[in-house]
Amino acid sequence: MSSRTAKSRVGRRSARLGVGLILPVVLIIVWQLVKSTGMLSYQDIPAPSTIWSATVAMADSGELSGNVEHTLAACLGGWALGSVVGLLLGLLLGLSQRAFTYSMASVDVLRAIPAIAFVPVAVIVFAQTLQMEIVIAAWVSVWPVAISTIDGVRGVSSVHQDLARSLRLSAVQRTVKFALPTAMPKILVALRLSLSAALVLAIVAEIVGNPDGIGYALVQEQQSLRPDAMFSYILITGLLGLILNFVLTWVLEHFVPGGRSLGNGDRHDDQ
Amino acid sequence: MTVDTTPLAGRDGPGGSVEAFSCANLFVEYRTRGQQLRVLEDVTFSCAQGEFVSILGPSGTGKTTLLRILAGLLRPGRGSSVRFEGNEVTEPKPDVAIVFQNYTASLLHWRTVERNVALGLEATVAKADRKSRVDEALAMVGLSERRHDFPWQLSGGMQQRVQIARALAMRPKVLLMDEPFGALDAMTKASLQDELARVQQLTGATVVFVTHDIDEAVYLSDRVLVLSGTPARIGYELAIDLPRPRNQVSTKESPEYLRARHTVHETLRSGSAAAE
Repeated sequence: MSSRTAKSRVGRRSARLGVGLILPVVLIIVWQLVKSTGMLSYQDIPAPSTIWSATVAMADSGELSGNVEHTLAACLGGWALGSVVGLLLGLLLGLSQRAFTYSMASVDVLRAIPAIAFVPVAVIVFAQTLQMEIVIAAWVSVWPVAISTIDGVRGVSSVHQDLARSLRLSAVQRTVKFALPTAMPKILVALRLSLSAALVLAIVAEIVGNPDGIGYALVQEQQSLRPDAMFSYILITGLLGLILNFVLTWVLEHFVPGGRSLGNGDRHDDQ
Repeated sequence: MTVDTTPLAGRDGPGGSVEAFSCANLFVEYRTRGQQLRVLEDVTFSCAQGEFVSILGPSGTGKTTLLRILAGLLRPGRGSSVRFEGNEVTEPKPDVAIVFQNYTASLLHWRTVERNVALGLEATVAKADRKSRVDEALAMVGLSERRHDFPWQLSGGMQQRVQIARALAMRPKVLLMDEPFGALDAMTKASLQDELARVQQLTGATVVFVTHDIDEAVYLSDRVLVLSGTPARIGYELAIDLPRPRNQVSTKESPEYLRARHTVHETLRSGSAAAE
């Protein structure tokens, strides 16, 4: 029974994906027509066909894959690091009232500062390196995960608190058996949000500070007046974000307990 | 279905008549908006090992508060005495299991039935022994077939059975039950009452059962304690000498049952009349 529902869910999903593809395809066709008929004469906005041939050329030279790999490494590395730090910070602040009282104001201030504002600082501290990008991507990943974890672990119901106490569980057992599972749906959503943010900030860091990756390539192509290559990188970034989110959602659904709630909405809310 | 029928606790312990719980001069005060609100006053009672005691009272009389005190989850007022097997209760005891009123909220919805039942054993019982304890508890409540389901796939009555199995798996000497069948329909309630009575006979566990249902209290108990008044105290105590096993039809038709029910009704009515 479960395999059948799983299959029909995959079926429904690919059907939805198919329907969702109609609009972008139509837009690309319209874009191409408008350019080919000369209705849109801006030279700096290339036709999809021109962007495609630029993409193929860059792919052949190996330039494209090198840049994508670099950005991907910065984004994923920073996201993983930031998520782990965010989770630990969230657990500390969520479970210890004292830590919460003393540091929540600082957290709120730090997280209110746009991560972009830290890029120049990171460039000074870490110079123009991959490390610098990772730190920036990590910085922006920490907060959604930390805030969701705090919120989640504080959401353990009073009945579960009574239950945990009556079972005489230690603080670690209470965290593992009650707090983390309770917080899991919120943490999973935060992981998705912070992954998108990490990608954005990795590219920003490349634009501002590091001579490598998609962000730097964008600036280079702009300065060499090659809008076709620029558009190619922009579209590839969008595609990258889409793929990352898709892969992450799939992994969470299949390998993390409680990950299913991403797809179904949380229908087992206590009380 | 085979079930291990050796007594799990209590009954044949040394002394035989050792008290499971004893409370003396117990009182509780809450502080609300600067005012001291006394909920329980001068509550004095004891219950013997293996006894089925109901605490009966209208809602809001502090029944749950009393149960939480027995469970060690709440400290009573200074000078109160609450003892479990002769020792002062200052924290939850390992031999005492609680069954909460809200079964849906009390189960861990991210765990299957069997892992919910195993919850109380994980910290104390070696992994090798856990499975047989879980099997035994699930067999007692008739849920062996649903072991791989999640709580939300079960009906309310089944969810409450899971909670009872979770408590039984710990082989507690005492079950503290807080209106466990209050939210169930009449038919489910009747069958779970009989199941509980059977399990209690089987395990010899002491049961302290909070309820506002007079019939339920008289039908299940060896003794009924009526909480009444504000602040509440034990206004009446009645031993129920009906033979066991009891039967939903014949027991409830017997003159002794009707007399006990009548008495409790009268007590509750006069109690509430005095309060108004």
